[in-house]
Amino acid sequence: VTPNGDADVARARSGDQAAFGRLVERRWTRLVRLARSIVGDLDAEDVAQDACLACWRKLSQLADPARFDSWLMRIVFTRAVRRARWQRLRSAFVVRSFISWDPASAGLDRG
Amino acid sequence: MHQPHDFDDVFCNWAGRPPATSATDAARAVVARLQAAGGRRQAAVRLSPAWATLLAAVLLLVAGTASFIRSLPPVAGLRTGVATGLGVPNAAAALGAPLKTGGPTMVPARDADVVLWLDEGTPVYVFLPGDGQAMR
Repeated sequence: VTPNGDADVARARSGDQAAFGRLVERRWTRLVRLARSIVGDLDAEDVAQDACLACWRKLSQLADPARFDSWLMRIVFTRAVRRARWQRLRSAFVVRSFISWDPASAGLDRG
Repeated sequence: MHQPHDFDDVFCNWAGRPPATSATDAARAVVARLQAAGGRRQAAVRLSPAWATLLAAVLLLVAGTASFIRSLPPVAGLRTGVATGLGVPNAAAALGAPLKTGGPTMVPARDADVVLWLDEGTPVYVFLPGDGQAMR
């Protein structure tokens, strides 16, 4: 049992996917809230899921299992910030395309 | 006009709402994606003979191309003992310019097939020596 009382962290580290699922289940609401505060409603749960998958892949790199919570939240934060940057870039591109869009060349300028 | 503390309250209420997907469903989805990722790894292992075939085909193609290039006849137009410009911009001018020594330049070619004359890294002449020495 790890110092924070979460034996599932140790089980997940040894490859137990069900244990990892329980870890996600207990933290899901907090993960989504953090992601939502950064990327908004639409992408929050997607970001949280991606972060959980990344967490599973990097679980062997977790030095101190007692700090699993903060480690997972940091992964969510990093992924959310990255997604927010992408959203900003995408919206800037869309706005620029809209500004440079010419209705006449598109055949929509009919009076 | 919105006051800062109003914004904080609204933001906390908005961000603190429960997720649309329940925790149980989310955990189940994450585990399903983990299992799917594991399945993809197994499929990739099963495809490995195909990758080996593709790699062998690429190697054969490379070896065939190299063999074909080596079998091509030498470039026509170059004759033994003739200085030839390489087509670089400075080479044409340098070929027509007299050498500072005034006389012919003798280059000990020994048993070389080709002697390249470089001027600050730019190829100026190509000598194809005939009898052990090249002359411009």
